[in-house]
Amino acid sequence: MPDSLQKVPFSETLLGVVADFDCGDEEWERPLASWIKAAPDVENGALYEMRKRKGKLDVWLHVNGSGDLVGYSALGASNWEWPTREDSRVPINVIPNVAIQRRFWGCPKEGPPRYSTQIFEHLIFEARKHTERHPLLGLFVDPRNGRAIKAYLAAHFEPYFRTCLDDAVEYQSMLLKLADAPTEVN
Amino acid sequence: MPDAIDHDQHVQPCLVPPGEYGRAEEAGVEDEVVSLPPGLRKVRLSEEAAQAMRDLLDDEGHAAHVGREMPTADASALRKKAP
Repeated sequence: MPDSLQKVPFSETLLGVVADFDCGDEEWERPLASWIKAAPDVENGALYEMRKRKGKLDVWLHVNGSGDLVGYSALGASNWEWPTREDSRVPINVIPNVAIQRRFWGCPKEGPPRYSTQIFEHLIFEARKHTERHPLLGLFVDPRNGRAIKAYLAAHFEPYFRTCLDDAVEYQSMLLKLADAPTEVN
Repeated sequence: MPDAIDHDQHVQPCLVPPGEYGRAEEAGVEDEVVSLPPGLRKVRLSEEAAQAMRDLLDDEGHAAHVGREMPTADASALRKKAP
């Protein structure tokens, strides 16, 4: 199927591939491109954080059957602090960033599965492998990013809590419950 | 061994980190500020948020999602390859 995506684990050698990554001009879209394009020595960037988190942050590029870079996805462990000592300190899975290049928004046109659906399904599957984490997949989304919120709701994510991480933005968190780990994973 | 420093010159406080000299003057180089994705930042869960998470985990009737494995490709699958 030509519009089925494949994943390529992201590494420094692929920086040239993402050099022109464009996922929109809005205030909440530009940081997604900057994050994946950042050189390994740029603090907070994808490669910098992958190295810093020592295997606890996975990033993939997604390529279609024509060899086009459609988007990228990332999966990590949450850094959320629980309110009481009685709570288990086990983290959950989080999607730090996920983005589709602007020219592939709403694609493939012929019908489902859309690229966004394929990428969410992939992240859910990968998250299930992490048995050291709670079987939940969470994310934060900018409340102005209506397109993303619509896609997350379509993927059955549920609104969770809101928190202000930046001065001006009250991010909406969303959660999805995961099935048990895939049987083929040891 | 001679050096290239004029030791009699008054030394001004360095307002720009030494490694940053020249960057702004280079054509096409923009200041690069990358922010940490909110999902990777430290967040203290409220009691309500923690309870909501427990409820979701404990609720047997709540749909648990399976996802689908995506095939892995070699980097050569990307049309535009890294140099």
